[in-house]
Amino acid sequence: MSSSSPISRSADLQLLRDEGYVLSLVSGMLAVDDVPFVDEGVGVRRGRLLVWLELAGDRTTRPKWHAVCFVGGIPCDNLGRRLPQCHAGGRDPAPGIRADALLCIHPAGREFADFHELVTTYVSLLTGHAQRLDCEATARTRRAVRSDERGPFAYLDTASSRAGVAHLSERLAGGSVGILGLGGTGSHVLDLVAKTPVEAIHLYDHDAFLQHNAFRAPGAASVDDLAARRSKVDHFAQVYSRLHRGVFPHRVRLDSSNLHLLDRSDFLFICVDDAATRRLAAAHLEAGGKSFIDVGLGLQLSEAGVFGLARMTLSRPGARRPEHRSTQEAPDLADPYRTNVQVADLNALNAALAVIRWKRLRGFYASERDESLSVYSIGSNDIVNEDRRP
Amino acid sequence: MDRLPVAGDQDRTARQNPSTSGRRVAVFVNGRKCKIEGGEVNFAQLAGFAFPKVAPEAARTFTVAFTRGPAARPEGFVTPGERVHVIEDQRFVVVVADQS
Repeated sequence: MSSSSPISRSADLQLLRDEGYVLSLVSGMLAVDDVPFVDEGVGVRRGRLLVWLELAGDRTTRPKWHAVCFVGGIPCDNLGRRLPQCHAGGRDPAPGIRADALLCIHPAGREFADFHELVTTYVSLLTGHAQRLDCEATARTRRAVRSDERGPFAYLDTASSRAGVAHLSERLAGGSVGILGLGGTGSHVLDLVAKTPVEAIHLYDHDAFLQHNAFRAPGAASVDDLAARRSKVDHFAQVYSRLHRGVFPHRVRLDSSNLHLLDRSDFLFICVDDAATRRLAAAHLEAGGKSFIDVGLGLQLSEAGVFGLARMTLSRPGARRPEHRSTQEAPDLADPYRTNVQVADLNALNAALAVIRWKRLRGFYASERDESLSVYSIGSNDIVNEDRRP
Repeated sequence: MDRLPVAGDQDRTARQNPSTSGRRVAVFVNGRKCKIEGGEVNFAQLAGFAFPKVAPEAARTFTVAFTRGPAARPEGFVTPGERVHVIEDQRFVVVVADQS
């Protein structure tokens, strides 16, 4: 997987860097440092422009948004009067960064042609006033900066920065998540978790990726994907490594000899059919004080159609679930799921119930209740919850 | 199988009143209409309605969820050994929710 860098791969950003501007990437935004400006005390200082990037892959596209954030003070003219293009305050543009001002220049009748024009326009505005007080003031300092371009993603998460939720995404950052079982539901869990900034995603499964799996998995596997007859973990690791750098495949049939592999994950999603494997993993995680979410579909056929439940069960220290300790084997019912009825939508919903619950645990989503069991009932279209047990 | 009722089919007063002990109420278990005597039903009965051939021990693996219950508890779960009040038209789903 190649290292991506929008700065080096985009002509407009590379031109800025070649001209001596100090560029870096911060939480999906372009940061331009060392920009001289006049502060309210009529002193020349240096600040940072933060620009919302528009990217297609690793390259910039034409800017759609002409405003930028400024960090470092309130830009003024050479007499200390606030610039008319400057609006003080505003939202936090990135985690841990408080913008002092929002600057807004709109080219008449159009948007900026590229990010070079956008950045140089703003720098000229600020620097022009600074140069009246200090003729040597320039933003083209060619100062080397440490880049934070390397993150969990193979390319920048511009969606979060654009939506203004980058500070919330930080609540999902770091740590490792495991997915035990890469079937219909587990593969959809991966699809959702891979779009979060967790540091590592460990995949555990021993099966091969076969044709019937493709109809339950997210995306569209090619004939070549199927012909390769890779393991599920290798297939999904290859696919999702295009997006997330930290996907690690473990082709294992879980047993007591390899349970330690689960210790690499801080949090586990258990997405297996097999009761013995579920029980084994749950006991190990409980002993290790780990939290986990266990999912499962239960479907039946009637003349009215397929009905049943999509279940999500959360287990945490202090709130363990008795069903995870049961040694009772489930009866062999005629569940249509076992005959490969196509219910990728229910797999996706089951996965979403699990991932939403995890994101509420991490504080990304607000949480007004503390349920440990949720089921979606197909026939009634209800979600039934049971709150944390004492 | 009886047809599934629609809103308005049932006596709304009876639906809102959980004190139906002493008379029969009709509930739906996995889409099938079942008559309940005494205003309460327990986990084993519901498992038996849904899967009459499954042994009681194996039935303990069932997930039993209900909706359209009494005002005091309109939705929830029934666990092994538990008994819940029922009202007319209450819906139960009984499955083994373990497929992935």
